[in-house]
Amino acid sequence: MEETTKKKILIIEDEMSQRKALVDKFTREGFSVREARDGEEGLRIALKEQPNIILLDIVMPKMDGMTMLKKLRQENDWGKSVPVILLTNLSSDDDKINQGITENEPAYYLVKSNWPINEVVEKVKERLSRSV
Amino acid sequence: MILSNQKNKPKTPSQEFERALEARTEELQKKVEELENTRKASLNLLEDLEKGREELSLEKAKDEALLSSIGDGVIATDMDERITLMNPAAQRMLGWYPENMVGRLIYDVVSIEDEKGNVVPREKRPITLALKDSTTTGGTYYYYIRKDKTKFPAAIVVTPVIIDKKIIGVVEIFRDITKEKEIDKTKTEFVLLASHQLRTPPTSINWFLEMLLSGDAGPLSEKQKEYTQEAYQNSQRMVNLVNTLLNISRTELGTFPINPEPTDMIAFTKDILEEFILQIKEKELQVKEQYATNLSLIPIDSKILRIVVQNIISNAVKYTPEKGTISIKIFLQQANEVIGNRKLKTNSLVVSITDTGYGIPRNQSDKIFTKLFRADNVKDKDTDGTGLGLYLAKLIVDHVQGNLWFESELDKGTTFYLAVPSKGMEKKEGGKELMARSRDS
Repeated sequence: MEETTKKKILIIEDEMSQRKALVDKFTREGFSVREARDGEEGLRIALKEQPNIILLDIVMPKMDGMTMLKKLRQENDWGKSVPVILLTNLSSDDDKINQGITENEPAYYLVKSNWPINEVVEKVKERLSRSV
Repeated sequence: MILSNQKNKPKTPSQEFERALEARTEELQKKVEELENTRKASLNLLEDLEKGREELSLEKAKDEALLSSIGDGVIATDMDERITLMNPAAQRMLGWYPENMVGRLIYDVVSIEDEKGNVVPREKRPITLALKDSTTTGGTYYYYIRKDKTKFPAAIVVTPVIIDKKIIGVVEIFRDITKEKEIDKTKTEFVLLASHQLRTPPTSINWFLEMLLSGDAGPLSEKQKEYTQEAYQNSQRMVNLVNTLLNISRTELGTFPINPEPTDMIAFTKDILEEFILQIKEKELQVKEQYATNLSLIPIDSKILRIVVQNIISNAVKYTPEKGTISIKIFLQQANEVIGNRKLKTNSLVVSITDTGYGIPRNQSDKIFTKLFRADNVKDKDTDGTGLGLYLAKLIVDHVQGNLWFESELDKGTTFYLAVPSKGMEKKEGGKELMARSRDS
């Protein structure tokens, strides 16, 4: 598949092995994959590359996922509308997280350990099909 | 002869006077005596009154000393919610003093807020409710606003004061629970953090094993597939354990809210049963369903109850050998009728789940709802269990005023009974919700 016809996904995840699994999987599934190790790097790459969808962890160094998402939404029209899937091992118990979800409207909030990687791929594809 | 003559002789004026004087004097003396007695009686009465007054003063001083030494805040109001008394602890906690408060309407002086920072309206304040219903209101906590506008969380109990069967006011006792809430918050934060950290390694393990099993790294031999599958299943166990521990922590803190909504219990149970269809088919289990007709919707928090019913059905499926039977019944049970060796105190809706499985050894029955317990006869049959499912289920059912119990016979089977009051669950405000095997919590 030509690079230009592939859907572009940005994976923002600080845990190296999880990032590797996601990058490998989505590459195999025919995506053009970009990756970042923290929210700060993720925001910079997102604004530059404008992927079709973003997978975003929450607990990360330098800039956490909720802060990155807030900044992304405030940046421009594209940032406001790009689908973001929060992929985290944090329970959605925290008031701040819930507030962030309400304000910044991620597409989904998935607890990683409960989601087989194949189903994460399905979820991404399903969300992208709605964006077409 | 002289005497008789003297006797009949008329008295002289002076003699009459003397006689009258004597009589009068006698009369006066009697009166004086009476007055003296009255005086003595009055003095005695005064003494008694004085003694009574001293005893009252002493009692009052004791009561005041008692009130002063109580560490909790005490505020009393009359029927109109005007403050009649405030103890030193209440003054200290609120920053108000009796001269500013006694005689004033309590809701004019002291505001209270709920967890979200909304002012609690007068009609919902504990004092107003206690006066309206003439019952003790308790088990609530609100935030009191001090005079300096800062606030603190307080556990509040309000009791009506009743004399001669008439309510004359209320007494509110409140306690600053800032420390307890901080401890709870710390516990919750620790659990969240710990569960995050504990979930991290199994995530990577699961994903890579999955990709191996999917052939992403090339085809696997049968043996490689088998071993990889074993590793994957055990990693899943780790994840289930963390999720269960998280729910237990929320339950033990007792802070989860209860949000009842009218629910069709039959549809609810069938929906949960559907989750186990694959396992039921694999083991060729027969499922029999028997539901009462014309059951009304019952207000329950389906998220919470789901955890309980999932656990019971899961155990029935796990601990019934192949080709066995699972029977599910839903019916109404009247109070004081016996069901499963138990008499329920209220009219209830009962869900019973019977299996033809391994049963529970009689000498271990009393441990079945304890943490990490698994009966000896099933340990080798199910190595996936956490030993926490029934403990959590019981905690939840107790918290929502329901009943959970069982009957069992070794090698014959077990019936679990879940009873919920027919009127449904009562709404309860709280912190974080429990999640029933949801993947995103």
